[in-house]
Amino acid sequence: MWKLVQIELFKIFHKPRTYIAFAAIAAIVGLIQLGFYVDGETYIKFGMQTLSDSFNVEGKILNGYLLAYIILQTLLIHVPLLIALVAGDMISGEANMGTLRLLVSKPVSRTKLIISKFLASAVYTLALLIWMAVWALFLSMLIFGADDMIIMKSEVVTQILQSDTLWRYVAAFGFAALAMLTVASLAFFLSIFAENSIGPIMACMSIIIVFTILNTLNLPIFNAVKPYLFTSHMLGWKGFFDVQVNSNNEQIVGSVENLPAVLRSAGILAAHIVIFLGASVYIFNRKDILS
Amino acid sequence: MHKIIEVKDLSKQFSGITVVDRLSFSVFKGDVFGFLGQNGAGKSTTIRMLLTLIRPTGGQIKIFGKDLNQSRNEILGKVGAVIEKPDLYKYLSGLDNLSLFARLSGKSFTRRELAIKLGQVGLEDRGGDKVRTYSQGMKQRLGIAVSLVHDPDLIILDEPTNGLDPQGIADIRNLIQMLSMDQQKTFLVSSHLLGEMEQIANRILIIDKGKKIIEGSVRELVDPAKLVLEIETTDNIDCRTKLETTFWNEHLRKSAYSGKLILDISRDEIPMLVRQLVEMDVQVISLKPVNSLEEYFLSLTKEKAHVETGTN
Repeated sequence: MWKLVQIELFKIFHKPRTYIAFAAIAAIVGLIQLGFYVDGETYIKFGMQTLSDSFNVEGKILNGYLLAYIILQTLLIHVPLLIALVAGDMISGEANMGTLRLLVSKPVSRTKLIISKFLASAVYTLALLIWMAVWALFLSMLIFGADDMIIMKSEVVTQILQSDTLWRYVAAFGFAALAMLTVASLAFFLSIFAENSIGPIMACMSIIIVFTILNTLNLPIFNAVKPYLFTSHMLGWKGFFDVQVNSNNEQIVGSVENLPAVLRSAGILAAHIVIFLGASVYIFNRKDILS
Repeated sequence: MHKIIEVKDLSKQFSGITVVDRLSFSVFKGDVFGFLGQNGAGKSTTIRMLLTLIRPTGGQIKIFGKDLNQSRNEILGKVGAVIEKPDLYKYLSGLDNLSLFARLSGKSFTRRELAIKLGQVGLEDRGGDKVRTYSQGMKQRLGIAVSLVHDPDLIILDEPTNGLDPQGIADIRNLIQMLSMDQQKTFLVSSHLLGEMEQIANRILIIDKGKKIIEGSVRELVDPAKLVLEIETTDNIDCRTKLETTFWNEHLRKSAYSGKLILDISRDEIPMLVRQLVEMDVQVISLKPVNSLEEYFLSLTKEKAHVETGTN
């Protein structure tokens, strides 16, 4: 199996389109960092206006941790497209090139072939997130420094101690990886039915957009299905930045306010991955290769 | 003789349409087996079923004496194939493609060994170049190299000389003959170039609308003594009129279109015909024997006579 994954990775990382996503993330993160570097203080002052009237806020509010949070929030909506670009091409791209028939006629079971292809797209997804973490978190920390992290959520202001932040990012990126793997598994599943990669990529993005719209509509008819839509759980990483408080309203270092909800979301995403991958294996094993 | 492929009552339907209809045939060790049929006859579907790309609706396939369903990986490890077009990874080099498919077949080679294998198909100087820079003929050669890279016992080639120049066609023909004779490799070759097939195949199968029309050795099916001869003269109409008044009238095809002069003739009769044409003062430009297998194939597929020979 490892040999097959190696072959698939070799193919992925020799394809020019693979690097579009890495370049896009570097460019977007770079632009956001440049914007905050030039005009970040004004932005922060405006955001902190009401808070500054009542409290004396000291320290470096605009720091690497805060910027990474802003970037993560912005980018995780767009990254699925970059993931689908490669995962949606895994089978359909081979069918389009005509290499699928040669691949399937080799002495490798279709199940192993499909699992190795998925594992290779999972490695690509993780590589993309690590790349994003390096640019969004570590480069931001290098440019803007590190300090306590202040997040404003509607009426609540959370201050997370500097020493209590890094592990939360590790956990958040881990959760984001799970969310992106769900997108990858969906795009991968759709790519079984197509003979060019445009279809699965478009279909994957359309499903995400439709599900996201359903999430935002507060209608009873949709409320029943919302908990089961994977898009409802994709932003579950934010849960790691909600800190539990004790009876004196003091933060408990190393705590997560609603860990069961975060874990439940992770479980639902993992279940989606298993379902999409299982369906891919089942259908691909019964498919006539006509490309 | 040792059977390498044994196909029995193989059928395939797509949405109720029968594409392959209870097809049975056998390929023996060392055969260069020509698989012939018009476009849409079911050749590619049959080849895809032999390579497990398509699931048969019915029937049985045995390769190397083992059931294809039960021993798929073991069998496919000893099979090499070019299916329709030799599509490969265009963004990789020829050597990378070769290495990748060798590894998928469970074999590993050094770059030097792979370069030697590319040399077999005349691509030794282009191995490091990306496949996207290759001509159609070079891709075809690389496809054949890929099918041979893991040293298979059975090689299935679908239109292997497509896109090749005459020298390339001759090279592939020589390669097939060399591998078949020296190494006892078995080939199943589908092609529409019947002249080519006649030169390389020792046995053929002709199918039409998914059904077997005939199977047997080329020697059995095509009498080399009988020829179809096309004559081109400075005035074909005048020549036809003259021939119609002679003994050759019986040999002259009446249905020949656009003034063509076509005669069914034996090889021994050609000198006599030439002499008579000269005596009749006919200015002959050329005498061209029409390929006999092609003629045979066309007559069979036109008549759609489903005849079984005793070979199966």
